Amino acid sequence: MSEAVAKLEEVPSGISKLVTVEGQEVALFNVEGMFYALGNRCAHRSGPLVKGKVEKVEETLAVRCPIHGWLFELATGRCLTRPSASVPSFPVLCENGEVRLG
Amino acid sequence: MDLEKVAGLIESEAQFFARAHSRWSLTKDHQDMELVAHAMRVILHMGRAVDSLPEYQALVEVQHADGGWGRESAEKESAAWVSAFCGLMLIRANAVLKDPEIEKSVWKAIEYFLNQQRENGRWVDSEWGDLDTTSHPVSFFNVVMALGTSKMKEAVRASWRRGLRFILDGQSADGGWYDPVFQPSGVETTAHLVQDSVVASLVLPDGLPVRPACEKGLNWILAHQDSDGSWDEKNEDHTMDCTRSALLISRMLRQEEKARLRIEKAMEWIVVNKNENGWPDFPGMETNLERTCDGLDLLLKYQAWRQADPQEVVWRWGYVPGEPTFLRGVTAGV
Repeated sequence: MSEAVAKLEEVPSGISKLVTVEGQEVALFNVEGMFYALGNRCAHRSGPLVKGKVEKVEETLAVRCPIHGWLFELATGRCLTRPSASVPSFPVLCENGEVRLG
Repeated sequence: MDLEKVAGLIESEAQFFARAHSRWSLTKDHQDMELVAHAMRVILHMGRAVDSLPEYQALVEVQHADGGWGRESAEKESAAWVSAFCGLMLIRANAVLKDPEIEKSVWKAIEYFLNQQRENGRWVDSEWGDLDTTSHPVSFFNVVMALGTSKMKEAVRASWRRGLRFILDGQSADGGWYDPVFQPSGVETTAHLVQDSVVASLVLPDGLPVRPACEKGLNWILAHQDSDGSWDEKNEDHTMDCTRSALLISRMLRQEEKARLRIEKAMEWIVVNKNENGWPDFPGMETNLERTCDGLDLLLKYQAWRQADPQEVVWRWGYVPGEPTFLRGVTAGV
């Protein structure tokens, strides 16, 4: 069962948005029309990933934590800086003008 | 900034810090050790070390046999970055506590760092870049050189110089320090390195010539301030790091006129963008206790920077050889 977390127009391309799903902070990213959703708190020192910059690291789209720079793959939540670490990732569905998670 | 306003903020934030005691104190529970070290620094700079002896004793209790500390108090593996922060807090506190068990613990921490140093002078921690990691043991050793026994100084001198050389060799031509993996923007790394490792050599015997590196570092930091007074796009952590760095480096280089307006603008931004209690990672977010410790530490350092005695702020880094005197500035209790 997916949950609507934002209207499409609230998250234009190049923008990230913090949403809450079942009490959990989720960072939503729109990268050129592709949506990604990751747990908002960095696995290192809990920095807010929603404030991070999206970078391309050897063809992999990743967000860099703004506090100490750890990188997380947008598609999976896998940490590129420390491979044993990760953050949760969530499937994203866009339909009827809404962004849905789950 | 009006000093009465600063004193009022210190008072209210110190009360908030005290109310959060169970969230950072090892006397209450297992804790995140980086947060504990941040809290120990606040206690020290509020002049409350003597009243908080059990906090320092608890820090000794969770030290590992190899002399290091884990990232969490219950974690068995030692980590360099947080171990240096813990060792630093113990040697600085023990300048007033004079506790033999704490002195033993400091010696163990020294041994840990002597054993862990790599051939090229760096230290390594898988969660931090090598430059940032190395700056912490160098900072600890700076204070060993300032406040340690003569035997301690003799033990660390060569290692300290090799670590400092690694840091100095890593400075870019533009004055910044960049970490391509962790901090490509260079803001936090530069702010950490210049205040934590490099600048102490201006006052310590047997240091390396660092004045040009400090000047370039200070210029780099000031040049990267945003027009609103913050650094790194309203990043509270990095703005606090850069402001503290500017306070110390400008004072030690006697170049305060160059930095004064920028420091004041940064302080205004930091005060405007705090929460009712504590500081967030970015404006509008919820309070982060570690950031709150940083904010309180910055207010205390700024207050010291404004005092007539030019050495007063330098004490807050522990770089002045001899007995610390900052305990006279006692504020709200913990």
